[in-house]
Amino acid sequence: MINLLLTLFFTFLKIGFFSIGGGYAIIPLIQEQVVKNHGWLTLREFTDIITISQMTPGPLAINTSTFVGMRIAEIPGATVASVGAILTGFIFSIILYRFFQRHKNLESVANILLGLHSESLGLIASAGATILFITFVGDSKVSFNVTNYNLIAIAIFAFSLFALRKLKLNPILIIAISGIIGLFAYS
Amino acid sequence: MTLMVPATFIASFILEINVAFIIIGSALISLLEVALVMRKKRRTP
Repeated sequence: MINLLLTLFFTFLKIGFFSIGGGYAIIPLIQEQVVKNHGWLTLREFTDIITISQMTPGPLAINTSTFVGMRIAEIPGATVASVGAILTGFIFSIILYRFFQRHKNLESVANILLGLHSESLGLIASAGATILFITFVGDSKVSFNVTNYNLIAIAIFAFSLFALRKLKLNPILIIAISGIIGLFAYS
Repeated sequence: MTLMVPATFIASFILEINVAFIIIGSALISLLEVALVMRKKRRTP
């Protein structure tokens, strides 16, 4: 158990170290470590955890770490995973605070941050595409066979997108409506 | 920098390159760009 908790802690410490961009940018990092490298969760289980994390209050990165830790090693797992995920950011924020205060007008610092923002955006798009294909096809890869696509999932996705972008509905309301539609459509 | 968005997407989603390598690569490209800009500025009278 101690070995598992230590592995969990160092895995999330590593994830925290590379989670530049925060929020959604952490998803591909957690996915790579938890699904691909350690095999603690299947891709489907991981996607379900992301969905639950989005529905719960608090930052997505922390919620996901807590849920993954909980799924792997109950409450001790959730604790070490959450602490591991935030520890590097916490230490780096303290160290870099003075540096950025002193050099905030320096063009080179701004350019480096701009580059890292672009990289985060690409990773977020990649995480979004992975979740999209898992939901639509049941696999993280693009499928060219139309019959593989889940039409109910596509319809709920289209409704959510329309409700969020055009109707400007509250995301919590959209989640609740999608959940109710899912309950009836899949039962 | 704008090209970095699709490049990162392709590297992560299609080529499945380790995310840590992508982040380190992006940081190095950003540093390289900064160095090039500074060099250009120094050369301009």
